[in-house]
Amino acid sequence: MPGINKNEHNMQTFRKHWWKFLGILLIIWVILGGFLFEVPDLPVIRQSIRNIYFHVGMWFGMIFILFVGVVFSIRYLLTNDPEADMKAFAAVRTGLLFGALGLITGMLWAKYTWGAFWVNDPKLNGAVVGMLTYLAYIVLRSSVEDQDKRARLAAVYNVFAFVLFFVFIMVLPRTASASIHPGVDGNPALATGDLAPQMRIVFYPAMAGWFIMAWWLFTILFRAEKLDARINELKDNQHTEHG
Amino acid sequence: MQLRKIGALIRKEAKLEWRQKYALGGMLLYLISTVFVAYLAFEGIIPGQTWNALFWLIMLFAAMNSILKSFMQEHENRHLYYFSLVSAGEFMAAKMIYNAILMLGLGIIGFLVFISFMGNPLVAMPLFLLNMLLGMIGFAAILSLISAIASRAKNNFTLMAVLGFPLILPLLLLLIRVSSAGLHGASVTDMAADILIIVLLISISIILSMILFPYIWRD
Amino acid sequence: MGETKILVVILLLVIIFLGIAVFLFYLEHKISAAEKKIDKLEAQQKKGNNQS
Repeated sequence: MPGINKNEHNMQTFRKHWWKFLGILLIIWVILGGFLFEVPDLPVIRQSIRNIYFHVGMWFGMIFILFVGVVFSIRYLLTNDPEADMKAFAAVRTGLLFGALGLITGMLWAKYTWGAFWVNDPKLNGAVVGMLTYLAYIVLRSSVEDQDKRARLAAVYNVFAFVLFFVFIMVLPRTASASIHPGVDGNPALATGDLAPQMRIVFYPAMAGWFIMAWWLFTILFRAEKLDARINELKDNQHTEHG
Repeated sequence: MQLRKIGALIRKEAKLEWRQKYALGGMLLYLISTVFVAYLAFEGIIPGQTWNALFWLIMLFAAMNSILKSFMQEHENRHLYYFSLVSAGEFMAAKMIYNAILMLGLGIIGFLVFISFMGNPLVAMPLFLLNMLLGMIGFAAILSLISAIASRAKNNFTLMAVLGFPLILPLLLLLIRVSSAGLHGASVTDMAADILIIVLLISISIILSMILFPYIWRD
Repeated sequence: MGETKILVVILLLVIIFLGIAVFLFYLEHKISAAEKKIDKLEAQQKKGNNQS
């Protein structure tokens, strides 16, 4: 690039992408610290408690990015900006991926602590309902041809669904008569409030790291979607020109 | 938000439903048929838990069918006409109230049909009836908006189920839990916490539906 | 023996994760390249429209 020397270019690149490097470093820190550092030896859970750095991070990452999606859905409803719709779509897809990761890590954890990959538990059921909810969002989008209508219906559903989903995973498990899932009242709490100090130095960076990774994936999906839209528009313009 | 207009809309819906008696009759027939199938399949007497779950499942399917239909039975142009007279909010309120009343009727009939075929293991009627009342209103509250969405897309009935099931599940589980407690003779005060949450869910759904509906019917 | 197992696990995870990170950067690179191409095409189209 004429006029800019290599160092300045690298500096620009770093300024734009620094947070991605931060996310990568954080996750590597989590992998190293998560496995090498000391953890309290709780009954039943023992060493598998280390999964908390992955499972919980992925799960909260999912909720975070789904919330982002709702923000963009609301923005679409208010402004009719197609980019807002694309962002909402990207957010939901990212959320689904992180949800799947959360489910997988959860099932592995369940196998080692409770003996089965799955149990009938309100928090787990809430997780499945969440996945079904957002898979339904994908189905909804593919059921509508018209772009504006699709974006609008999807946005309305996204807002409605997220609120109900949030109530389901946050409120209901607290009232459940019995939950085997850690963190619900009675069970050894692994919530941040009660987290052992030696775990916090990995846990907090883990949350930050997973949030960053979720955001990164979200931006990539959005940019790809936007690119697709621009290409289609170019094609349409070409046809109207020569037609 | 003019109550008079909402009342007029509700009366219109009721008249429409009454005129097309086959729709109402169809719903009744559906209820009787499914309960009868369950009766045959279970050979009469069934344990309380099964009775409970079965009842709610059948009511859920009936709900999904009838509420979706309520959004699909009128022509586009008719809707344009309505929107020149009333606001979207009034329209949605009327739909939800009508659906709630419809669901209550279906619920009562469904309940009667159910106990005639499958016996009545209930001990605590007040709790169960209150729960059913709330449940039917809840179905209307949540499924109305979903039906509105599904009615604007292709594959309405499949889409209705796909969109509706995950969202109705929290409510459904609560309802089953409360009525299950009713089977064992719990009182309303025992289940007060759960009932409060059901009311919360319903309120949230109604408020959200009122806010979001205008955006669905923009065109 | 347990020590080496953990180190293997860590190494594996780090490698997999770095692989994913590299892949993400690669995707972004492709997207940026495509974005630049589209910018050019859009500019061309605009010029074409203004002239005709």
